[in-house]
Amino acid sequence: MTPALPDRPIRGRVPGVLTAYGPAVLTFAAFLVLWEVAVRLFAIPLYLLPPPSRVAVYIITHADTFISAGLATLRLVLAGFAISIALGIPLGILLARSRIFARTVYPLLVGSQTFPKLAVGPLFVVWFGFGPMPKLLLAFLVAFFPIMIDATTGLQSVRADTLMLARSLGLGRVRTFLQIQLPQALPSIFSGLKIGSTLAVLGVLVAEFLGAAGGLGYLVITATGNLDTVLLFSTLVIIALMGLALYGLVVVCEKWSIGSWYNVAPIRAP
Amino acid sequence: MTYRAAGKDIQALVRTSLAIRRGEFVSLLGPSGCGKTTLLRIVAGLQAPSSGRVSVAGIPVSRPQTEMGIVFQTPILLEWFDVLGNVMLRQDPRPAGRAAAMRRASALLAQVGLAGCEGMRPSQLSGGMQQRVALCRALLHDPSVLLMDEPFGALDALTRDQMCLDLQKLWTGGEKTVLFVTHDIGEAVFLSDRVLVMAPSPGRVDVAIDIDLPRPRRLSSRDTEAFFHACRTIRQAFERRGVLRDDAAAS
Ligand SMILES: Nc1ncnc2c1ncn2[C@@H]1O[C@H](COP(=O)(O)OP(=O)(O)OP(=O)(O)O)[C@@H](O)[C@H]1O
Ligand SMILES: [Mg+2]
Repeated sequence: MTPALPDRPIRGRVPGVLTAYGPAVLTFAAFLVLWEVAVRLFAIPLYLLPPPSRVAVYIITHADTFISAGLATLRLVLAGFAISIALGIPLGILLARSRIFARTVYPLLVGSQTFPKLAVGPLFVVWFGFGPMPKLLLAFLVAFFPIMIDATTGLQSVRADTLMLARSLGLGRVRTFLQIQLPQALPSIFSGLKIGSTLAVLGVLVAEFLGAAGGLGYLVITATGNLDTVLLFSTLVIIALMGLALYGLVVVCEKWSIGSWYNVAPIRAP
Repeated sequence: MTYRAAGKDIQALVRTSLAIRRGEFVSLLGPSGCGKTTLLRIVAGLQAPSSGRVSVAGIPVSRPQTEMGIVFQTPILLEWFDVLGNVMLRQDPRPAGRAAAMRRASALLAQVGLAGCEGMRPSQLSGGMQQRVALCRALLHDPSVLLMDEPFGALDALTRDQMCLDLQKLWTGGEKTVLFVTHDIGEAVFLSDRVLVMAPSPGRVDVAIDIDLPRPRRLSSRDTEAFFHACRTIRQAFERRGVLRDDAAAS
């Protein structure tokens, strides 16, 4: 764990959103312009690569479709992510604190991760049908592992001198955990949540590819089947926005909980 | 006390025996690595000796001595609490007694020249300020035994003198027993009733030297013949052990 950045210079301490993300946004805008120009210049057929303007217009004119499909997927993503957190963090704590657990279950968990988890998706569909169950299971399966491991790593990197301090003050187990260990583990826990948030989206989408009656994954499959590249691109844009929003939510929580003493950098510039 | 590191045993302390009377101010003085911190941790019950025993007020030490006030060699402040939170760490978060502890914490901070710093973050403090916060944390519950591991090591000479005077006042005021680790001969002589001179490899207490300077001691006490004499005695003890070598004097 890195301690709080000792001395940030006064100027630029609170970089405005503009200075922080402005350059990246401009780069992206330039990329879109280039794309638009290239498609028109070389007369690339629509079914291969639609221009960004077409995609934007399509999204706006079909907003209803995207809102209802997006909400369906978002609900599953949020639920799957929540389950991953609710089980991943306690498992991580158990892993860090229980030698027995670390020696019996942990190797199995690690072993299971070498297996390509998305490959069991079809099996879940066979077992649980087209309902929400396979989506939640797959989201959990891919998202919980980094959350658990990062919680364990965070707790294991607690500085020994702080534990000695806790013993000398007689803080007891509960206060030592809450006031000494957990705060030091939080930066690592949040980095697990960031990775987990993107994986939860992935898990739900793949499960939707395999069989669903709605949702963004279903739209992707439909668009592919009909060679409707404009719909495909539009859906991908919505998916990207959803992933970004979920990631942003985690960063906001992180800033809110540890930002006062830990230097939270959502996207670190080198 | 024997450590195991890098595959071999390190004898950090051998045949160390000391008795400290209630209300006494004792300094441990010795070169780096002679086992001062180790000895302090054993006394505090934070580390079990590989052999031997310690007792406080007749009771053997077998667990951390939480009623002692301990200042560690490094401040060990928690970045996720502000200065006040760090000083109050020992205090139970339940509201009972919290207001009184908070007033005491503020008073202590003011006493060490950190008035108004309650809301600051440890990372915003200088090294010396951090160590003073750690001192306040150790004093919050007005302990009758104080263990201090080079508490003024990170302070400038002026602040250090002031802190020595303040510590003396604090010690005279209450019935406190202090075990004070330092490698500064003058500091040890100024503060102590007794200075235990330690020798390295293996670490041990070499000689105990009583300091018979009148109390309370003033800054001007350091200019007296008796003060020089005490310092010389200690320096000679180090020279005997080869800790200090003055080649020019030898040739
Ligand atoms: N955890 C440890 N494992 C192995 N060896 C240790 C450990 N802690 C201390 N030692 C060794 O014990 C000896 C005494 O260390 P200690 O920290 O007590 O010295 P010290 O007198 O406090 O020195 P300083 O003035 O530099 O703080 C040293 O040789 C050190 O290498
Ligand atoms: Mg030491």
